[in-house]
Amino acid sequence: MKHPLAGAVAGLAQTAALLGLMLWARPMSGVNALIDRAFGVPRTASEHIPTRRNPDLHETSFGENPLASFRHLAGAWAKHPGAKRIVLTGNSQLQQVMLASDESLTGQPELTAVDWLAERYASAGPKRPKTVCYRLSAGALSYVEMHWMLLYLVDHAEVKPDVLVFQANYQGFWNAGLRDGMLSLLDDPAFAAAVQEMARPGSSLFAGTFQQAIEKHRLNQAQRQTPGGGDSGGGQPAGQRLETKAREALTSVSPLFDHRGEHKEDFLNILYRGRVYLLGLRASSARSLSGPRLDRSRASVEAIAALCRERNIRMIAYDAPVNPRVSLFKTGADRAGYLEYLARFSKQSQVPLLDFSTIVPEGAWGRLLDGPDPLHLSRAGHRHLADALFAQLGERGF
Amino acid sequence: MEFNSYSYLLALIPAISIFWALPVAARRWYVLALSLAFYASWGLQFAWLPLVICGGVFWCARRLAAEPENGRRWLLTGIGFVLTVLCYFKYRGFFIDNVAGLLARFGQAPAATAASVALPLGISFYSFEAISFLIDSRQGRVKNPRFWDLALFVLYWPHLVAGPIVRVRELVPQFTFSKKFDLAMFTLGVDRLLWGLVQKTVLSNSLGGWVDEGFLARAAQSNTTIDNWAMATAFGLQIYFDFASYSNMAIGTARLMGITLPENFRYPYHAASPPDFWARWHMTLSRWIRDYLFFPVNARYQAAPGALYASLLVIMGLAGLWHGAGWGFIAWGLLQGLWLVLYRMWESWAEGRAGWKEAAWSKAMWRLLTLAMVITAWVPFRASSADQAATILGSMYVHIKLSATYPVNFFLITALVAGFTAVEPFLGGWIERRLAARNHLVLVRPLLWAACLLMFLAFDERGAKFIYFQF
Repeated sequence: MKHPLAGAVAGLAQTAALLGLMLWARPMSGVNALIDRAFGVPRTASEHIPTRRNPDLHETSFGENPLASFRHLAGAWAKHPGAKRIVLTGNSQLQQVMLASDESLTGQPELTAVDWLAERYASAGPKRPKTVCYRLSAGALSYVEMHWMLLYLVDHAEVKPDVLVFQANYQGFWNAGLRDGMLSLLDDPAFAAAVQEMARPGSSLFAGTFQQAIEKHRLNQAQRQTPGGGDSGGGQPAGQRLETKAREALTSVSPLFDHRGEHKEDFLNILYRGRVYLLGLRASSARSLSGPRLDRSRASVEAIAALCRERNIRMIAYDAPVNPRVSLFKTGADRAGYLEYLARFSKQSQVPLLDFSTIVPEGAWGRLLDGPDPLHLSRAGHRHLADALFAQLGERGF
Repeated sequence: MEFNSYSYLLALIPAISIFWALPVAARRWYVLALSLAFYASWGLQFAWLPLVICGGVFWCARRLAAEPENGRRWLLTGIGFVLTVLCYFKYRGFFIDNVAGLLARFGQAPAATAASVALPLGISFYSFEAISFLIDSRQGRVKNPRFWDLALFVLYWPHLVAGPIVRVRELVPQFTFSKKFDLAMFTLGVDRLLWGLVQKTVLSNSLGGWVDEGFLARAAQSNTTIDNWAMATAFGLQIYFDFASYSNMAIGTARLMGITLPENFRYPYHAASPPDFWARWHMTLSRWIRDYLFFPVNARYQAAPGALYASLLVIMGLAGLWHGAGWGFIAWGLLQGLWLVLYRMWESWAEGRAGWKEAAWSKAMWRLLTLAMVITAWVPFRASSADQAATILGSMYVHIKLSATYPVNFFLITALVAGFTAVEPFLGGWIERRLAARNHLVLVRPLLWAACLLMFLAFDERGAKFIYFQF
């Protein structure tokens, strides 16, 4: 370019056009598909299988905005006064379907165990006492998060469960954090007060996590209201108002802006594939657990049981189904330690513990990129789990 | 308005376009107005403060020029004024709390406790720049100062909030804004701005969540040796990319207006020794400390035995205190001082042994030691209490436990970012050489810019603050 200003404008215009193209074409998703093809991964192992979403029955934000979901639930349950309320909580095993080798895509959203269970109760007939179910799950849900959400439910009569079906899962003890989406519950004053009480320093092993969440939420709120060292006028500083306007404007210009998070997912999936294919570190790789995360998880599990006892909620725990072809325990001692902990917890907390670990047969499991899925059930697997749950809960819902 | 925000990026396009469209004489007023608006966009509460500091400093500088015989008095008055303002906002609470704690230890009830005062954004940075203006005036490096030169020097928005800490003589002469629009300067500016965005949103923020978890109040007690080394390393990487990203965006923004700001980072984790680390880390603070504190102090006391070592310790302790009002920051500064002292001692000792200083083994040893020392010093800097810092350091060096309790993803992400840091100078150099050959404004550079923007869009977290904003 002869004229430097024209050169700069042309460079910026090309950048804008290329960015638009990238946002539309999702190049990193293409990279993932290429990697999968190179490693011979079947389509169903990498494809997202759509499942039914019903806000009366599922926490549909998957932990990203449970407050909105719970407010919806209050309305849904208000239509069934006197019904027995069962909340089933757990990680992605409850919400995802991975097709087995003899299953194929139908084009319809798949049903999960909780859907099947709800159908069983719905078809019980008008003479039976009404039972309603609710699935409270999220991918890699930690027990700290489970406890966090339960604290909300027990303090709000309109969504307080009668029965809590608790999924115990070795993988569940790997995580002990609180995702940002969960902070929305702090907008509720009763919940915020309850959490503040539990966040006192030294009161529990998870108090620090709660405190951190409260501080983060306070910071977010301050940014929404009086950020940047404060605004004497009490209103939102100009910088924050402009940022909000800029985001709104970008959303209105193109819906692609709202979907920008998908590019992060694509990028992280590339890293995940690198982890699997280059380092051989799979989701199903066996591991030992110890340290602060395990301590915080156990403390949260015990707090959940204590909360249920205190608030007169029947709690029933089950050791989650595991794929017989994959062991997540690194050593025999890990397995023994996990089972011993569950048995001790069940005895001390007087929570019935059901062994569902072997109820799903070998053929009813999905497949991951690199082999058998250790966690996610197939279509048939979900039916097995629903049957086992119904058998234990009974027609009266426990 | 933060650099890593859509509003800033969108506002920058018309702001820079208008700048180049204006007549040269109007540009300085336009930039000053934009700088004031930028600072006020964070909140009106302290928008007046930089101007008040400039007013006080300018008055002292004028008196200093008018009464050279009383120059020292006016210099100290001006420095005292700036430090009083800084101490009031930044150190008042820390001082009162510590005095109260001390009194309580001797059974005396404290008379008053500190009411919390909000910290004006960037006060540590613009205070130091104001002091350097005064010292340079006293030493004759600033001639015939004008108030609006000083105001623009302090308030110039790219460096106002978190540096680089600039000098009068390197910035004020550029405020004629008489350069013509230069495509090379423009493309380098966009390069730095967008690379800074990626450093912040992708590299720094992806470690932030893990570091927060690792430094939770009670986590330190059950973290193992490996956990704590990885956590301290992750924090070292997080703060590097966080601060370097801000500096890059500041330098990039300034370049869009034809202004060159000094570099602030030069691959610090590639340092060959502790002094080399300080020649690469927050370079503009290092040279400020060197020129305005270390040289004068050392020149005065160099005859005293051990003066060099003592001055290194005291000055680095003060550098720690500059970062924040807390014992953890002071401990960090003292540790950095200790590493510098140890290196000087080694140098004097090795000088008497032929070839030791230049030997490959000694160079390799100091590279590794420097890395370990720097990572160790980050622990008190980040820890939430002295107890936590002691527990973590104890686990890193004494109570050795060789297992890892955090998820594999934490170690992998830390290793990935550390690996990137290892190749960064080579990769950066290669890309620079490739792009410097031509401006590549057809396809190649726009493709890189679009890729950076895509990463920013994908990883953007509203409200992810820069760590150095708290200083």
